[in-house]
Order: sequence, then structure tokens, then C-alpha cells
Amino acid sequence: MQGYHIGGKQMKVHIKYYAKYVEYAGAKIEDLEVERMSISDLLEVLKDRHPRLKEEKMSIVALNGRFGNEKTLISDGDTISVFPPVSGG
Amino acid sequence: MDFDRYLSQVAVPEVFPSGQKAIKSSSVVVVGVGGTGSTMAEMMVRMGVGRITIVDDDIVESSNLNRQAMYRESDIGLKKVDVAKSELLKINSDVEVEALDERLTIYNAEDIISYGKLTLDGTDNYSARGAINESSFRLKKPWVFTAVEGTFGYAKAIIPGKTSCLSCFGYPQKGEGVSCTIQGVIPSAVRAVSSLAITLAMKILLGKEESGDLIYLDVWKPMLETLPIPRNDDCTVCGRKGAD
Repeated sequence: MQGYHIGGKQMKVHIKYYAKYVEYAGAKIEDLEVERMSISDLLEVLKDRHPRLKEEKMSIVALNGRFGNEKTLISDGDTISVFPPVSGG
Repeated sequence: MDFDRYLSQVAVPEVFPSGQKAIKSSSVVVVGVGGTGSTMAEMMVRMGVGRITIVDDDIVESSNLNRQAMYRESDIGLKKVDVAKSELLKINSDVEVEALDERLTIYNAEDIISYGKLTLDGTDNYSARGAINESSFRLKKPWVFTAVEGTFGYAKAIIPGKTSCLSCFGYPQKGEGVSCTIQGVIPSAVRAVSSLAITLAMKILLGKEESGDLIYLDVWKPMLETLPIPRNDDCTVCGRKGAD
């Protein structure tokens, strides 16, 4: 498990990647140890780990199976699902 | 109305007994008749919608033929809306078909959406969807969002005043995106997402869709997930702190 220690209380979260994000992240699922932070801050952590995520305009993020507002704080044991945007039709 | 042709769908409990009448009395607008749009238009006409307006300013190209409904080799170079209108009338002559040789923009979106009770998104770019989203909210008309790429895609019902909208979850409201020809898409993903969208459309027309969940579908895995998206009070389009 990868850790991101900045000084706050650490928590374990599960990240699930979808569609082309699996290729970008090199895995369907990864577990991270991070301090308590917002979803938007967590996305920045993920972009640092997997720079190709920066190629997309935005990501659709679910927190424990529901859409998660970017200001929402994550908690220990949360599952965060990250979906790419799509424009084709 | 020739009910015989609709017997199989009327027999479905979710449609029986009055659903066919509701479909027949409905009007829909299909914006973009490419991969998803042409498929959705064909299904709506086969199902017996009363009136359909198709909107597109493109011509048929050879790169369309692997996935777009109704078009043939002999149609290459012709206007998509002209070919589609002709084919739709051959499928069901009871349906009123109107063809608009236009590209939807923020400037004409309200006029176009006003043609129908429900709008189906067959577009291929963020700006058009943003325009549909804003205009539909202003007109209080429901619409169905679709988008596909590679092996996966999304569908979502958007009902002003009831469900979240496209802007509620941060979907880009401007920009061209990347075309299917460049990004790649497999035909089965297009058809599967279109089928989900038409089911949502039926439910809206029959008054049975309330959720507005985002449906994610990947035909390759295969997998399907529904992602509840609550209304966002801070949404710049439909937020309760704003226009609603």
C-alpha cells in the first residue's frame, strides 16, 4: 500500500479506476494511505501518481457508490471510483 | 393507429395498457444523427413515437458506416438528415418526421428543443451538450444524455426540477472533445448506450423515470454500474441557490 504522509491522521482508501483510467493508472484498483482530505485534493494526489490523468478536462468521482462533491472530505475505508469524461456520440 | 405492429412492446407490463398511447402522443428531438443519434431515432420511430425532429448538418462519410444506423455506401456525400428522414419514413409512415439541416449551438438550442417534449442527445461535443443542458433547464424540458468512447459510455435522464443536470457533476460544458474516428469506438458500445438511453426516454415519456442516475456501461468487460447523482445546490445551471 502506498502512503502519503503529511502529518495528519492517516486513513486507508480504495481507489477504483474505470475505462481508460485503468490503463493510465496501470491497475483497476489501488489502496492508498492518505491523510484526511477533500475529494478534489485526493484527485491531485492521483494525478501526481498517474500523470496521464492530467490529460482529461475533469473526472467523474463517486464516493462509496454515489457521486461525490469535490469538497466532500474522505474518511477511513472509503472507496473512491474515478471515471473519465467522454464526448463522443 | 396500427396496434399490431406494437403488440410485443405493449405486452410488456411496464408499457401495458396505456403506454403505447403515451408514446404515440409524444414528440422527440434527436440532436445529432451520428452513432447514438441515428440508432435512437430509428428505435423511437420503430416504437411509434408521434413526431420526431432530427437535427444535424453533417454528410454521410465512409467512416460512419461501421456503426451508424440507416446509412449505406450509396449515401456517402448526402446530408445525414435527408437520408435519415427518408429511411425513418420507410420504417414507419405513421410517424411525422421533420429534418433540420442545422448544427445546434447556444444560439439556436432553445428553438430546436422547443420542437419536442423530450430531447435525445446524439451529439459528439461538450459545447452542444452544455447548450442542451442550459436550454432544457430554462424550458423545463427533459432530455437524455449519452456519450461513448472506446468500449464504454454513459447515459443519464435529466428532468429539470426533479433530477440533477449535466453541470451538477462537473461534466464539461464547453469544448469540442475528440471525435469517435480519432478516439475510437466499437459499434456495440454505441448500440448498447443508445439502447439504455431509449429505455430512459420511454420511462420519461411514461412518467416512470425519477432517479437521474448516471449509468456507466462497458461492453468489453462487460459491466454496468449506476451512480446516483443528487442535485447540486451550487450548480451554476440548476442549483437551488441560483435559477430554480
